[in-house]
Amino acid sequence: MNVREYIESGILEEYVVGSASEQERQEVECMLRVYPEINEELNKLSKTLEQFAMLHQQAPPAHLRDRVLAAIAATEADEAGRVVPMDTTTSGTPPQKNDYFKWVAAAAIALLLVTVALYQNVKTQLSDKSMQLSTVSGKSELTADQLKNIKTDYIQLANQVSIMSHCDMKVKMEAGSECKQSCCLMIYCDGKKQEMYVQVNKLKPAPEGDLYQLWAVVDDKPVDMGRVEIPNDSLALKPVKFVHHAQAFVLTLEENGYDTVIHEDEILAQVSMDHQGM
Amino acid sequence: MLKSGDRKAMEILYDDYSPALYGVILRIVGSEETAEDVLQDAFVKIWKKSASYDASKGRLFTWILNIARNSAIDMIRSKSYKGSQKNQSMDNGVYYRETMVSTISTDSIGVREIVDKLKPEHREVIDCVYFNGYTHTEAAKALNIPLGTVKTRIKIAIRELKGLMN
Repeated sequence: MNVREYIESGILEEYVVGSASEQERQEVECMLRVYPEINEELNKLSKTLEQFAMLHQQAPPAHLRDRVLAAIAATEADEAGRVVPMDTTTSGTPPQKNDYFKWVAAAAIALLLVTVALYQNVKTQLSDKSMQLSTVSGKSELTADQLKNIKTDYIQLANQVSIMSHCDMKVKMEAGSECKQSCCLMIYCDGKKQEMYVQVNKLKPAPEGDLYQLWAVVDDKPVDMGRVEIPNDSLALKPVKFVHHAQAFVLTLEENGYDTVIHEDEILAQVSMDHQGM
Repeated sequence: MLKSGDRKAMEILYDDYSPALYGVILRIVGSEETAEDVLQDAFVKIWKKSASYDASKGRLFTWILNIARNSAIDMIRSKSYKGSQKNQSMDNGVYYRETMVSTISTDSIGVREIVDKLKPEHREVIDCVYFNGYTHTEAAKALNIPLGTVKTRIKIAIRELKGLMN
């Protein structure tokens, strides 16, 4: 994709002014994670609108400050007033709140340490998860189920982080709005272990009966790497077939089921390895 | 700061940003009484949503500004508000205030200077989408111009604004 063209297209202006469609918004948010230039341009445009807003500034009546702060305090009191009963049937002794907090705090600290060690892409994605963690830990009540979910998420995340930090090659595949549909995929490769993973950042559900298929091109011949499915968790890494010396990766939308050859008209995105350095 | 959900942080936020937010809200809703309610509503939303603010997706002030702007737009698009402004509804059902296009309600000289430098067709498109929360399609209908023209004008208008601000 041509970053310059994307910036020139005017979609970022529509994004900052709030008239972009939901789909365009998601696309921009995906792009700004991948391309620093887009992120930078968007920041400039955001600053422009901030300055434009500042021009309109007008002091609200003085009495409003207390009213607003009181309304915030009331919201807080309202939330603290809600009590969720703990599940005490599973163990003999009632669970101690402090233990839960210790667990959450430990998980949060561990997560923070891991975050620091990662490179930028992973860092961005992790922040979503840690945000969820801090949201949950900020509330005064935690059910056993919630805690279990946090643990599962954390273990999953730690696995993903381990894969990402060991990978020696990272390839992104994407197609912009000018293509059949926009999509964004990452392929991670661990050369030592000879493992490859695919991460689906953005992909529409395939139409009924169709499926997404991932390919590598080796010695100018297509090598099937398996089916790509949309995971529940956009961070999830799914193992795919390991391929040596790929010249390119291709994503197709197969209308007639699993295929053995790549048809030009079914290609959604492709990336040539010449441009990716490795 | 904001993430800790600290109420002290909200006080600082109020002191720093309420004039800008109030000004924009007033520009959208047009009445001081409604603007006060919307500002309160916006700050409660900021407080509630503060844990979900993601710095990697954008600037804090932009995030706050959009919450305030959307609260105000929700207000002018709500049934009760529209009901009180019956005379100004359009045939196609899209609510549109003519006065917003031609006049700038605030007295601030800075706004006038900047906005006067924009071409009228660019000014009105910003009014439509930024201050009235119109989608492209709605703006095209309200201004009676093709969809493609709306998009082009938005692009040019924001760029002109960018030039004027720097």
